[in-house]
Amino acid sequence: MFLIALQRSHASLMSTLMMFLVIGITLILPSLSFLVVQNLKSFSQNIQHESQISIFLKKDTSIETRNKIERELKGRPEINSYHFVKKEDVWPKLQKSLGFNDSNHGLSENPLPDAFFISPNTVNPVEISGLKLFLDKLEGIDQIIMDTEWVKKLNSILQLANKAILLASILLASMLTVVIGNTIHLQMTSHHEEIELSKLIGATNSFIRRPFLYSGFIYGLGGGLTAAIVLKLIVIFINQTIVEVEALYGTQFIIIDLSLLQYLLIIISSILIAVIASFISINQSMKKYDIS
Amino acid sequence: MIKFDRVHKRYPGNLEALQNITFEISSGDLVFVTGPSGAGKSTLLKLIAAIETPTHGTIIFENKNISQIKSSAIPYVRRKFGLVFQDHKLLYDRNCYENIALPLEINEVNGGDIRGRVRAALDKVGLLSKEKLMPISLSGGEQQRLAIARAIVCRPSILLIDEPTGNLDKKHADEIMNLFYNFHELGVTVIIATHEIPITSKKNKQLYLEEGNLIKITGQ
Ligand SMILES: Nc1ncnc2c1ncn2[C@@H]1O[C@H](COP(=O)(O)OP(=O)(O)O)[C@@H](O)[C@H]1O
Ligand SMILES: [Mg+2]
Repeated sequence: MFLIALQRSHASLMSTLMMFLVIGITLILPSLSFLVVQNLKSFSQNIQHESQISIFLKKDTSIETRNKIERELKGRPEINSYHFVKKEDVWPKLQKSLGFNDSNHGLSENPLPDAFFISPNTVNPVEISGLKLFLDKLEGIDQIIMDTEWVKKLNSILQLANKAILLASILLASMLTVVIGNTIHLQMTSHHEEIELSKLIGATNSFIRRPFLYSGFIYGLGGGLTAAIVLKLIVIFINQTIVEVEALYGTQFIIIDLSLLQYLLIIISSILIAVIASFISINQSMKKYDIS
Repeated sequence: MIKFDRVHKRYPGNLEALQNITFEISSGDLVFVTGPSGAGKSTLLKLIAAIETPTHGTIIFENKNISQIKSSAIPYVRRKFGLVFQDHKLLYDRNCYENIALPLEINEVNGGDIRGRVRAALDKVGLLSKEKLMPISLSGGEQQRLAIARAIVCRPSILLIDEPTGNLDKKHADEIMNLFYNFHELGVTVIIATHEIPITSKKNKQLYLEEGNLIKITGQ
């Protein structure tokens, strides 16, 4: 298929390779940004367990109420783990660290509340606020402190980044449409004698369009493949560097690659953009060969 | 087979190239369209081949009105004709073989048949030995014959030929004209535009044009 297309197309080898590069590099920009955002996302998902919700109970909460709260916490799917801290356990430690001792009690009464510390297993803001709403309704709770604000912020920044990438992709796609369209137009101009003659002796528009559409298809396929291959090489290169660093520091971090489907998506959108751009350009150029 | 009824043709910004033209051509005719340069001979051929459309009037070809034809149907009308252009319109970036193969590709002829038909057409005009050459390396007469091979390769029933002997010497011009007479004898309708008075013993019909007017028709 590719060989036939190459044969039937009117593209020269040099200009074809140039187009591969232009399209490939243009496509790498948004794909790479997408890859970065995806990795940051998974990174933020990994640190979710370190984010925490602290629940401070009312002073006079009974053991029954406390047990009831604990049972409710056990039943929530968004909760990864929790632990309970008794005020009697913390108070002596706090006193010690403040420099008090048994003989000179600064305070006669323990001012601390009992507390639960929860690690949720999600960073989804909707799920988190759902959990908070649920906790708010429980009896015996004095205060809930969320430690997830910065995760939320990171998430909204990533969402913004996704939108920016989408916008940039649209701009780059229109730019590619212009560049490819212009190349096809030049190709048609250099074949205008052949087009003119073909029309005179009975060629249909689709016959005339065909070789130039093949060119567009080849540009798209080659450009998409270039982008996919370079992207894959970048990922392999970074991961290899990371593995070396890992060996030194014993950390565990690896770039998440795009999926096969996403690579295919890059190639398919490249082909689509190129073919559509060619089609528009061809139809524009062909208008001048029509008789009045 | 071809019928003009009060046909006018005006090019944008020009006087009328053809005025009130009425005539009829039957299948198998040998027709000369004559008259001085600028009389409208080429325009007449272009109207027949649906390359130009008339400003007024009707052109009937094979019982169809081709003056009001859908643009998507035009290619199929044009394919019925074998066209030899005044300026040949050969493709100079393709060799002789490829020049002759193009109309077959346009007519969607089976790929396996193309080779044989190209070689048969080249053989008919005596250029079989030059199929690999580029047209630029051919003489004027050979280029003319290459253009004729391209016109006949799809076996059209009508040949439209514009100024075939324009810049050829007598000997080569006669050779070329004899080619057309051969096709005519095979039953092909041959229509030749020429500013020279044709000399032939063949039964023929002549349309004499002057400044866009059909002055006389001889040899009904
Ligand atoms: N494409 C065109 N646009 C404008 N005028 C044209 C065009 N083709 C021919 N003409 C004019 O129409 C007239 C007839 O031209 P043509 O049919 O070529 O005459 P002939 O072939 O007999 O020499 C001439 O005056 C010519 O200048
Ligand atoms: Mg002329």
